[in-house]
Parts: sequence; C-alpha cells; structure tokens
Amino acid sequence: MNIDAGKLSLAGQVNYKNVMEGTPIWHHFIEMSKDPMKYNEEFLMQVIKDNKDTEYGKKYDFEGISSIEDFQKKVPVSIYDDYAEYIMSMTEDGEENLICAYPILHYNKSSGTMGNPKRIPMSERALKIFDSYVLKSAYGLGAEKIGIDWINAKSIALTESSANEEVLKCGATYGAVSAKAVRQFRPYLEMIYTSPDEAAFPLPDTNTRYLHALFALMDDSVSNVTVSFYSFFLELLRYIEGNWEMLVNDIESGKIDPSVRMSEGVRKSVEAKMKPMPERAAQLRAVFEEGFETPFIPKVWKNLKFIAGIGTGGFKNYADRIRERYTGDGVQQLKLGISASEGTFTVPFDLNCEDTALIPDSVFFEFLPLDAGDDFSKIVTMDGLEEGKDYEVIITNCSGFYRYRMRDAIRVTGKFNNTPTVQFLYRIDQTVSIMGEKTTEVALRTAAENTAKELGFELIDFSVYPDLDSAPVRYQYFFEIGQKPKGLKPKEIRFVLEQKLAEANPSMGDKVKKGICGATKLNFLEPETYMLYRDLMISKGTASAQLKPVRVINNELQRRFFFGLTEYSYEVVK
Amino acid sequence: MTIEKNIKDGKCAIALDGRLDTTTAPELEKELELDGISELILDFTKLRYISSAGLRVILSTQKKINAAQGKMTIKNPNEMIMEVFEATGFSEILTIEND
Repeated sequence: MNIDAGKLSLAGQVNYKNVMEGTPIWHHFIEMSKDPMKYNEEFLMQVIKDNKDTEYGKKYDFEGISSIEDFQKKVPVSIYDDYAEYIMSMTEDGEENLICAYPILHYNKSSGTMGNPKRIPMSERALKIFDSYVLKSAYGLGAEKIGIDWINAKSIALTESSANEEVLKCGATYGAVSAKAVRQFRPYLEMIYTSPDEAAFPLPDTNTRYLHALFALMDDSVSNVTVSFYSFFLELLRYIEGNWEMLVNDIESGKIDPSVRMSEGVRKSVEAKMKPMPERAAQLRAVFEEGFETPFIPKVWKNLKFIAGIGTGGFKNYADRIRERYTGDGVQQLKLGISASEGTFTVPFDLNCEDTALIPDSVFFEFLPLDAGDDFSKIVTMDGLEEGKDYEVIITNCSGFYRYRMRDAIRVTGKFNNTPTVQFLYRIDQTVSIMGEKTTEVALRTAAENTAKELGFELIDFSVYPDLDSAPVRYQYFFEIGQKPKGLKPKEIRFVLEQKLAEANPSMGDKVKKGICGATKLNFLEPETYMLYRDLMISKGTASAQLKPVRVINNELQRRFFFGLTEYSYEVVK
Repeated sequence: MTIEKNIKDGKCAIALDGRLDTTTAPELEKELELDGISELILDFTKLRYISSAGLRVILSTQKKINAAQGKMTIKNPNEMIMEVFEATGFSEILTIEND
C-alpha cells in the first residue's frame, strides 16, 4: 500500500488512516482465530485480576479464581437487575470500584425498543475495543478483499445526532456510543461524508432525508456507504425513487425546492453549499427517466464499491432488497458483526457473508444451549460449541458485567480458522409464545418475507402482536406494503401468510389447525407508518442508530401506535 | 382540504377543513413554514381525518415550536382524530384543547 497520503483529500486521508489502523487489527484477529480459547481465557483472567478489589470482585472472591472452572463455580450467571443498584450509585453518586476497576467514561442507553432504557457502563478499554472491531477491522478486511483504490472519495453516511451530549452526575457521558464518536468528528464530517452538517446535526424541523439524498446525488465520486443499519440506506433509496424529479431539479438550479421543510436559516446555510450543477442533473435525469426496473446505483455512483453496515439477522431482508432493486451484484456488501451496548462480539471475515466470527479478546464468551432452558450446568465455552446448534450468549466484559445473559440467540454456522462463526438469530425476549409454540423472530420474519415473495408485493416492514384478548388467542400481523400487483386481495395475502407461518413454525400451524390458537389476523398499515414511528421515537429521545425494527409488539406505546395507524384489516370470522 | 391562516402579533391560527392525508399534508407543511411565530393554534374543528403523513407534519411542527420555545395548541379534534392521537402516543407530546 504505497500511497502518498499528502496527495489525498481529507476523506482519502481518513479512509487511508482507517485502513492503516484497521489492517493490523484485522491481522491480529486472524492470528487469534487460530487459537481462540487461549486469547479468550487470557482476556478473562486479566479482567478477573484487574477487578479483584472491586466490591463485586470481593463478593465473589475473584482473588481465588485461577481458571475458567473456578470462575464458573464462584461467579453466578447474572442479569441487568443484579447490577442496577451498583449502576445507580456509580451514575448518581459517582462511586467507583463497585463492579469495575477501569474508568467508566460512557454509559450506553440501551435500545428503547425493549422498554425503559438501561444505563450500560462502558469502560475506556471497552471503548477501544468498540473502535477497533466495529469498523476498523472491517476496513482492514475491506482493503484485503477490495483493495484501496476507493479511498480517495467521500462516503454516504446517514449519521444523525443531536449536537448536545447528555452528561450524568458522575461526569460520564450518556447516550448512543456511535453518536459520541460523530460529535467528536463534527468539524470534519462534511469533508468525509457527502451529507451536510445540517443533516448530521439537524434542527427539529429539517427534512434530513432530502438533504442526505440531495448531497449524495450531487457527488458522483462516492465510493462507499457506511450506515448503522442497511434499513437506513434502503429508506434513502426509496426516498430518491419517489422524489427524484424534485431532487434533480434542485441539483440543476442549486436551490432547494420551496416545499422542502426546513427553517429559513438552515435553507440559507445549505444553499450556500450548493451551486447549479446542470451536467450532473442531466446525467441523473437520464438515468431516472429510464425507470427503476434495473438497478440505478451503478449508473448514479459508478465508483461505489461497498456498503458497510449491519445487514444480517433482522436486517438481511433490507440488504437483499438493496441488492435486488438498487445495486445489482457489482457492489460488495460488508456486513458488520454483532455488537450491543454490553460489548462487541463478532467481526466479518468475508464480503457478502451472513456469518461473522467471534472475537476472542473483546469479551469472555459462554453459551447456554437454547434447548437447555435455565439449566446453567449445560453452559459451554467457545471450544464446546457445536455447529448447527443454537445458543444464548453469556458474556463477561471489561465494563463490569460478569456472566451476563445477553438474551440474544445465535446459531453456530462453522469456523473461521479455529474460531466459531455465528449468525444472530433473534432477541430471546422477542420470541412469541402464546400457547407454548415458541415462534422466533426468524420464523415470524420468514413467514412475512415468503408471503411477499410468493405474491410479488413489496413489504416495507412488518410487526407481530401476540393477541391474548381474543378467543382463542392468536397472532396479529401488521404489514406496511409498497408496490403490489394489481388485483391482489387482502384475503389472499392473509391466506398465504397463514400457510407460510405454519411452514416456518409447524407447532403454530398445528395449533391453528386444531383451534387451540385462532387464525392470524392481518392488519394493513397506512403508508409511511414505520417512518413515522422512527420519527416519533427520535423525537422522544431515542438515538437513530439504536432504533431497531419493531418485530414483536411488546409494550403499550407500540401496541397503541400500530393499531392506531391500521388502515384496514382482514381476519377469518367463523 | 381547505386551510385558513391568520397571523397577528406573532400568533398564527390555522383552521383546517377536510382530510389531512398523504395528498394534503404537503400543502399544510408549506403553510407551516413560519418564522418569528411564538404561538401556533391549529384548529381541527372541521378536520375529519388525519393519516400518518399528517401526523408527521404535526410532529415536525411541534419539534420546531419546541426548539423555538414557542407554544402549539391543537383545538377541538374530533373523536376519531383524538383516538389516533391517543393511540399513537401523540397526545403525550401535544397540547390539545377543546372549547
């Protein structure tokens, strides 16, 4: 990689720096992957040694632990409630050394989608791990697989953040860790990303989708897309498809259409960054006038090499949709690994791959087989995993959580060198079981996607409500549908959905057949309902990067929201 | 939908008649491009229906008014619209008054 960094644009220099820093991290990971248990055990022993004098360490005799077996005997499996009081004292009274000896610099606000947000401590060391493995190692992998001829161009990044950071009484910051990083780089963002500052740090009335789309389209040299979730990019592409005439006119004139919502101040400052681009507008118009039957991205951004973001598990259908409709096969998908507020767990090891590999020095891993219930004697470490089997992840991190049940289900898919590779399956608490049928998020998703595929309609998004008030109890699906074949009837969609649900979870199919559960009711949502839900949650303080799709409706706010925006329904009434 | 707009002394009153949906929401959005307004009253007395697109306009206006430390009031929504506000959680973030 002989590149004269001085000749690169700022975006090029930042990309080059990320590649240069990411490459050794990626190589270190490859090295660890040959003997993962060694590194994972070393990680644990270091954490135990460093934390032996914390209150938690004394309570569970960390001093007397010298092996994984000792650790498992002395330290109990835990949940958030076991740490809640410690965390309250840490955040409100500034107490230290309770659960973690390392300085806690930040508290993650865990996803509000699962109920009230929790404060998840993040130590300085955990922040370094996050920085290394969430994106930088992917740059190393990307450089190895794609090369680096893409680096001297801007990225499309749909980052949005409030300008102000919440600070807790203890002095640590509080919120989404990704937003913290964005704020730190604010002065440079416009030189690295296509979007203007007014979209990255928006005022409340700014139409940010328009701004992200406009500035991305203005730049024909874009080489990559970096988003939290693939769903964000798909939403942008749909916006472009629906509003291309206005966007192209504005690129041509260098002025923002008066119908686009933003304050006069924002309009003025954004327009100062624009200039009439008649040639670019003509190129874009020619592409969009051809229609959307073939992917437009290779014609609009000819140098676009890859899309990086979370695109596995519940986000796979969004990634697939982007490939089918917008990119074709020429753009690589770099699907980032599994990470949560509590830690960074896996990294990608190849392009266009659903599997990611466990990181041996990010957390200490234990796994409880899903069929073991709460029988903790069945817990295994990384070397005891069986391919094809499903497990709940239990982690010990370097931020004060020990043998912590993540409530995430994963499937072991194989090995990268000697390190297990996995796929995220679902949040265990998002499993629906109204009569013991245990329908997983995967099954719910498979049923919805296969219905859309078979009947040829565009499924924008879906959710499921376990309806315990009807007799007999039943599922209620919510569909937001985009384009659909002429004449397709709600009755037909519901019928196929029922079939697909029975295929995805035969136990549910059997229960419906026997009348133990009622036939599924299908509710059709108004257009843009999921977009509105996202806007509403953001206005209530949830960070955009943490807004995951609502698969199982499990709180009153969600229930009222989705029923409130149901346009019509179809059910089988005997 | 018809929109009646009155601006006086930094206060703006907008009365809506008809349906606020995907087709009409952009019209209202345009009328709500207000600078220097400290108080906004949206009179829903004659509004018959609101869709998710309409809710999005209301949400972004409320956010803008909050940021400017102003006040927005929704007046006299009918029962069906009130149900939508309550169902979607909007009633918690909006000021709603009935004459």
